[in-house]
Amino acid sequence: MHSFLHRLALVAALFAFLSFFARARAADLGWQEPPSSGAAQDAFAAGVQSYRDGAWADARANFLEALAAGGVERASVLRNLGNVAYREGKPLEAAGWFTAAVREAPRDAEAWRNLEFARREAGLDPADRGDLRDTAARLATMLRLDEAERLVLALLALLALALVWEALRGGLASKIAACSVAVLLALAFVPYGVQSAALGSRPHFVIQPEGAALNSEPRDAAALVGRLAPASVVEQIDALPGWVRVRSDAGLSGWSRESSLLRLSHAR
Amino acid sequence: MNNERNLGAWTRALLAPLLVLVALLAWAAPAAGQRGGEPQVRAYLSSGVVRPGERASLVVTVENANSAELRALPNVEGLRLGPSPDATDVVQRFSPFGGRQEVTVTRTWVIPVTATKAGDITIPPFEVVVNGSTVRTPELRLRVVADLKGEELGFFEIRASSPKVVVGQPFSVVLEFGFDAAIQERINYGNLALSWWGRLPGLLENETPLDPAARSLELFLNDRERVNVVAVEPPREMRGRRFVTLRAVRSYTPTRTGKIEFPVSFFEFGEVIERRDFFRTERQKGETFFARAPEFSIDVVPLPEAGKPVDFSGAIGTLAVSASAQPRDVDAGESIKLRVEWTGAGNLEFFTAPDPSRLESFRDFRVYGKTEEKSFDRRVVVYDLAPLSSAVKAIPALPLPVFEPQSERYTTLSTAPIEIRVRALEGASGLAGDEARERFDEDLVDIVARPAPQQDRTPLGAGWVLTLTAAAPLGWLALRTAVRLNGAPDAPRERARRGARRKLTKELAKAREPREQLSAVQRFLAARTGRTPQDWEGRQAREALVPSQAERARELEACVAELESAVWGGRGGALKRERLAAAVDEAMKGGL
Repeated sequence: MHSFLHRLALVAALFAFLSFFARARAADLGWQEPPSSGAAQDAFAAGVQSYRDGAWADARANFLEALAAGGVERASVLRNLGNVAYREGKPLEAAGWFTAAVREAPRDAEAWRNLEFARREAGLDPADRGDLRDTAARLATMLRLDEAERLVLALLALLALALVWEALRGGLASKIAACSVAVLLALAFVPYGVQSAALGSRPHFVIQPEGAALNSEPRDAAALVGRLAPASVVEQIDALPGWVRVRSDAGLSGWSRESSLLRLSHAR
Repeated sequence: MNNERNLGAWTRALLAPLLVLVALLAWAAPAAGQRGGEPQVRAYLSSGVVRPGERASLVVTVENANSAELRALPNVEGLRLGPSPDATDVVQRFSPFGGRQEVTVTRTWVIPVTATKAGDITIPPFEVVVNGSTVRTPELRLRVVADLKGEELGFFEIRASSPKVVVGQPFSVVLEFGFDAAIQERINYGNLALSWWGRLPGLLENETPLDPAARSLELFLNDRERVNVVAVEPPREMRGRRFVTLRAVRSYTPTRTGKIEFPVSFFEFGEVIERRDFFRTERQKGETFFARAPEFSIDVVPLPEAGKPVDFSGAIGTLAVSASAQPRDVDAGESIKLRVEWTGAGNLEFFTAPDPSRLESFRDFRVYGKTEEKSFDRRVVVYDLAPLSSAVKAIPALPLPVFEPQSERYTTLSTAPIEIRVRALEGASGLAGDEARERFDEDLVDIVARPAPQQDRTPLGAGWVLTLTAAAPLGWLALRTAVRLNGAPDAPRERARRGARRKLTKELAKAREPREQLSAVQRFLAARTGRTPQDWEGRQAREALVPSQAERARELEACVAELESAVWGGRGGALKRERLAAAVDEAMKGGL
């Protein structure tokens, strides 16, 4: 009995040690108490009012201000900017804003509905066609990075418990528990890996209905080397005031006017 | 032994989650099935029949290969093959399949063939190295005859439906041949020597049904296979004579641009003499004659880009369309099967059928899907449509952009609108008339008016996650190793030791006599120490404790002594359970 209690104490100390480090790390990152911004709330409220009044340009300016201030939930601001763009008669741009919104809030059914509606109105294929590929992609991105990380950590804790059980007591049941949790952990690493891989990317959505012109250099007189299809998503390589250097999935790269593109992931 | 048992346990433990994982992966496996460009090797002779000394060609083609090399040509008696020249590469593009463009590289070797003596000659398969793998060509047959007589006794004509076709446009080849009706009595054998049959690259053979009304008969094809032909009535009149006339028709779809060369063809006809004896039947060719059809070619040209509609989906040919709908009297939202049938001479199997859900004219319909039937002469698509409101009066025309090779221009082939009646759903609206009924439009979900405050979602970081992930198994290994230094925790003896106290409680609860209590205590001591219960008869419990903790066994020893007195001396009775349990617990604190 004594030796068992000794072992248990050892494990408890290990957990305490790990959780202490995790807390310390979280505190370093300011994870505990997010800052709130009164200016952002005010700008957001002004944007809502302008939208209700049908003043689309004012609503856009206010929502952009709220987005820049960063004190309100980003997915809501992006969604509202999509509504504004649609009311302004820009369904393609609206689709871009809604795409950004669902990246922030992947399980927001209303944002998805707006995205599909805007894409349909813009004459685009659905963002989620319901086929195997899209379903798999949606499953892999249904959790945000922080959520996927929490899931992985929770499963890691469970795995640690199962492994401690196995180490102290052995037996088939403990082994099955450890293996089952390990399999779940491996599955949980899929969304975590996908979101981690996308962390450093700077995707842009082409909002120009005729496609975005791709110049060899950041000036209008430079050679036109290609044209990005409307609604295609391209990766930013570099940026200059008014210009963004991008690369398409097909490997085509060049400079495009910033006004032709919509950045999908803003500063995190 | 213990390791082996552990290994088995781990295997069993892994099995269940692995099965689950395999099932999940099988469910999620993407549907494979891409149309691949497999390398293809073909070989054919420019003529199936030659005279001695006459020169023909052996043509070898390799498609869709990154590298191809012709190995040594075989030595064939009666035939001089070679020398083999360098291959010529031809790059061809084609796009008959749903408008998708593909590129094919064809390597061709044209090898001179000269017959040195008469007879039936077989060219055995020879090797071509394609993408590092060895592929063998099919066996080829060549007939060398001293005298190709018979031109005046027969005829052989091959006509293509058009000398120029567009890639993807089906064309037919009519083979018409025959012999003088005056020698009909002597003719009982016919063979079509078509060295190109089934071997020309860049062609897909279409199904060509025989005319059921015509009289059909079977002829030899290249002396090996059989082919069905039909008798043409009335027989052809030529050169002032009547000829028994036969016909075969084949239809092809060219899959790429370029020239398709049809080599010289022969119709051999004559007499076969049959000799029978008791054991066997022997057939021997008698006098045979040859009618020759000259070589010809068909140019396959690409689709013109000028005037190509943006929604062109690859339909080529002279097509007709018809449509029907069932049922035509429906409630709003009820399914209607719209059956559209395209027929005619065209690539009916290969174009992409129009999608009503992408057409503005079908905005008042919901398209649930479609089913398709494809054949060479017919394409049937059944669309599942549902009118969304009772305002819909007809199924609109369904357009299909088509390239017409004859006029060399793009046209649109549309179905006729089909009148339907759509009844409003009962109770769908409280208003009386259709005109007064509310119409519902789809729109965006409204903006978010009260957003949640932004949460700082900065993650812990991949470094921490990976460190913790690595720490878990390492910590487990360390702990496991440390624990197992004192023996395996799941060994039977160790399990018995752990369960001894629990078992003692149960046994004491049942025990009524001092003997039963004494036996329970001895079994407990045996399980905790790994000895037998008999070993603890007359032995002191302190022996199981470290000397420094011996005092903790005092009460247990006293209890055992009292129980032994009661059992063996008849003094006293059973002890209180609580006292025994407390004594045991005290001894366990001392390391029992």
